Amino acid sequence: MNAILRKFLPGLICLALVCLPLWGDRFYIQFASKILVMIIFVSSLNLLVGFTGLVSLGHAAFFGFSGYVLAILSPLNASMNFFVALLTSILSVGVLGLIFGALVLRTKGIFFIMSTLALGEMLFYFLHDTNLAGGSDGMYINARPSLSLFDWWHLDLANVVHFYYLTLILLFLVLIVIRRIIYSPFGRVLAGIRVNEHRTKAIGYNTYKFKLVCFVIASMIAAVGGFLAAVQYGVVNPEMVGWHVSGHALMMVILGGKGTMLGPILGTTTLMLVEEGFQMLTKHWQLLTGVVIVLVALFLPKGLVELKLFKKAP
Amino acid sequence: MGSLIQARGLAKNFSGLAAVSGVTLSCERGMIHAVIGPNGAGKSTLINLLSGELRPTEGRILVDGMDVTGYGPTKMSLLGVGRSYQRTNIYPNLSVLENCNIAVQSRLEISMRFWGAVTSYPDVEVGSRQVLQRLQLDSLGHKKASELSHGEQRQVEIALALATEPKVLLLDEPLAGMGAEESLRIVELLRSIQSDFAMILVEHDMDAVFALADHLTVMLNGEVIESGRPEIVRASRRVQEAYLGEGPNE
Repeated sequence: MNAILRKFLPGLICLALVCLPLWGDRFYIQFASKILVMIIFVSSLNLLVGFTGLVSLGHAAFFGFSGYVLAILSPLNASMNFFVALLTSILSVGVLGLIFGALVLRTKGIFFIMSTLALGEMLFYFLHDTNLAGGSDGMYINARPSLSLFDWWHLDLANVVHFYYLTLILLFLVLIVIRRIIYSPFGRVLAGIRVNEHRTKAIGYNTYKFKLVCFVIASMIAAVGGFLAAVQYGVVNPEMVGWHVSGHALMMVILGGKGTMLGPILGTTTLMLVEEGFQMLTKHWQLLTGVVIVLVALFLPKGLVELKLFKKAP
Repeated sequence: MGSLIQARGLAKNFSGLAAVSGVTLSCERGMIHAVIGPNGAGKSTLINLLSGELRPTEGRILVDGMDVTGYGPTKMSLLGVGRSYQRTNIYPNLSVLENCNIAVQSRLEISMRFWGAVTSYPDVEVGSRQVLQRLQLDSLGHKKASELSHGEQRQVEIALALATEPKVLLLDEPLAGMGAEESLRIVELLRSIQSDFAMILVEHDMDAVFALADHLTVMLNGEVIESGRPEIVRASRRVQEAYLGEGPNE
């Protein structure tokens, strides 16, 4: 029974994800989209934390900044072309990732964590305390980007079903990209850096360069998530770049299992469902969420991927 | 033939304490130059200077006639200076083959490729298999490095250095903690590959040193007290007083 379930589980989940909008309820479709967006962001953080061993507490800077780029560039009345908007956000964040990465990667260990936190918070206060991008209120995106295919089909991002499928497709692409990266020659060097950076240097790799490229890639993937989050809510605010969002994502990486493809998916889905469920039950939902996290940490120290159900049959 | 690696008047001070001072030595292809001395004599510091992990306070390092003083370990490795570590420094949670793959890959200029899987570059695994075969480790390829015995891990340590196809091989106590039989095998191995490298060997196992070395340098308190052919060094009074006189092995 278990073996059969295990065999068909991935297919069943994919089928369920594709069919979910048929169910119709707006709230659940939106909530599902929210989870999918978050998985994109958490997976990008996992590329740093899990696959390269770089624990960042400032990753939300890229998530939020991507949304801000979209908000700043979106004209008041007309819609931007979807691809132009997405690519601009990703590339802008890539430049920011290059600048941040070039600075923070000069440090290691705890100092790396602190400097990512510091840069992220600098960006937060910059957006919060200046009027360049709406200050503490943030900015609205009046006209969401859109895409027309020869006047025959029109992508409407305000439509929850359209948005859901777009997010699902982008998540799928992001997961393929990350998977290809970690099994590529480049990804093997990242694994080497994670396990033993000292030796990796000594066999002739300029590890700084590899970490920087990885940092930029991770920031650009986070930008995809931030772009989608901004489109979904139609608004961006400084909280999006704050360390709370970074910390929340880090918790999801660890809860699910860092350094695995499945970890961010499980961690994000579980934590968001648990939080949502407890919020419906009681206003002390954070206490109950905390209990769940402690239990997972105690009994599944490597994360939810350790559950038998998710392990490959031997 | 000129020396592949040379140290000229090399010195390293750690906040005033001279760990190495005025060391001059050289090694050419096909030669094994052993460096011996009691604990704390500065042998490991010397290896760390030659491999670029430490920057010398004074003196120069030349690789193949080129001045490389101040180069870091990455550049040194790319110039063909490979090293092994006294304390095993491998990738414990990767398989033996993956360990070697990373090292082999560093010579193939494919490491910035993001897309194709590493398995689609056959040169990587072919290179690793050759190194493992040379060390008679091919049967362990798929074992996790952390699950190997100490002696086997020491051999993976050497494999990582060999996999980068160096011209110069710096071996920091390759036999440390190995059983007698394994030691013998490694000595045999080093002798069999000797002709391809300029080897600088730091080792406490005197049987191995005298079996291998073409040239012997004895260090004491950071300085070279004797250097020459093994039989001449063995006969030196100064060395016997400072070193061999203390006991057969230490």
